[in-house]
Amino acid sequence: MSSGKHVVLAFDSIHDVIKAEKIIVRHGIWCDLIPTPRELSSDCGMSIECRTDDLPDLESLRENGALEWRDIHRPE
Amino acid sequence: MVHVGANPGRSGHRLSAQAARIVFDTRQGLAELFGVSDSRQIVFTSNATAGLNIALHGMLGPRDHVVTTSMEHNSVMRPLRHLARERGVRITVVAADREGRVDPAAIREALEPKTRLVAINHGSNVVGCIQPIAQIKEAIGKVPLLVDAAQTAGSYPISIERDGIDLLAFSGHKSLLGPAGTGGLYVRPELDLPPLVRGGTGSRSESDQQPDFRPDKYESGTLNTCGIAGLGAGVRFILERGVETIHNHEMNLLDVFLERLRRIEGVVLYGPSSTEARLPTVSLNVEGKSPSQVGGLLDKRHDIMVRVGLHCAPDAHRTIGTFPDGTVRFSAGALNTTDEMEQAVAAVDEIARS
Repeated sequence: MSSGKHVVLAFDSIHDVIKAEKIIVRHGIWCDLIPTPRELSSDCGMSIECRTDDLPDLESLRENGALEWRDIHRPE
Repeated sequence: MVHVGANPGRSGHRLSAQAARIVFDTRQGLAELFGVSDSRQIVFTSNATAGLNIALHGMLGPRDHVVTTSMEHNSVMRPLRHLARERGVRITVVAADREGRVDPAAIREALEPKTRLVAINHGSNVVGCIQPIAQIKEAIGKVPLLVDAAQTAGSYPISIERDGIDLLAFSGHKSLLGPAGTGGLYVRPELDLPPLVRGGTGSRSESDQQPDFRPDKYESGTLNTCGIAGLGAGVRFILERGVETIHNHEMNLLDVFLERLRRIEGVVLYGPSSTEARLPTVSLNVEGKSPSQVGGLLDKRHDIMVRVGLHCAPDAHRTIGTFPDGTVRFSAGALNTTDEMEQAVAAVDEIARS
């Protein structure tokens, strides 16, 4: 997570992280599990890093209820 | 699992993630098996007893009323007697018939305005009878129903959301084919149930307050990840084979067992006489011999291991008329064969003749 090319999705629990990871992978979208960055204060220990380019696809999954996250971090 | 000795949710490294995936997959499998749409409502515990304690301690406040049955295990009765002493909880025990079955109408008649919970043993660990939980829920309406599924999970179809079950505790090491030290509790999402144990969850670490989201709310401290991996393998086996198929197999074994046992002079059988709504659990006695004598002979001479005595359910034995000596209890499972049932019958026959 070094540039504006990536976003980080944050979740309440590790259960929610793994659930989201499975859904994202199933839709052929790249993602990686990373230790939650300090900028996301309220967290579980792990977050999901995705490409900023994939954000529209992720947001449409969220809108149709297939995917949920608690918070999103967009590095400058 | 051999290569994944990490703690799910506590670190950001790949082994921790892999441990979390194992726990997630097991939880999802259980949700599928039990007819639960959101697996977050199923929490892992160390056994069914721990799940029952969360449910009973969380549901029953000062002077609340609870309805239960004479077929309960001590895992329900001992916490209830404790809550009666500590919180003034009032307990009504509805009597089952001699076969161990409870009438849903009798449960309804026992309800009072302050009844906060109905606690029912789904399948008896003494005589194998199944209680009609869907009809019981229909009879009690909005009063929450706690089901003790220690004996039935994995052996008899369970449909939590369809049947309106509010709480369900299960053990992992019985018909779910998991290791000892595994189990869990389903909690209906609308129930505001406080946890029994609070502590580290790997989430909201900046806060010294217990998280209110599930499953973390009820899962403080490191989970039994190795045990949960084993439980996951058991659940996959059951889902692949199908719980109906397993139940039918067990009823075929039971048919053979009961039919041959009935021909042996001096054997007294307890519980339901048919294979309708029951588990492959059979209690018997041999005339002229104590349960412990019979159990000892089965073990030492025939390599057959059974449990004798009161099976942690003294009221159930009072119900079927076998208190205080108890019975010899046989139980079959998904992996038993007809041949093994015949061997068991031959052993009982030899003991009855000796």
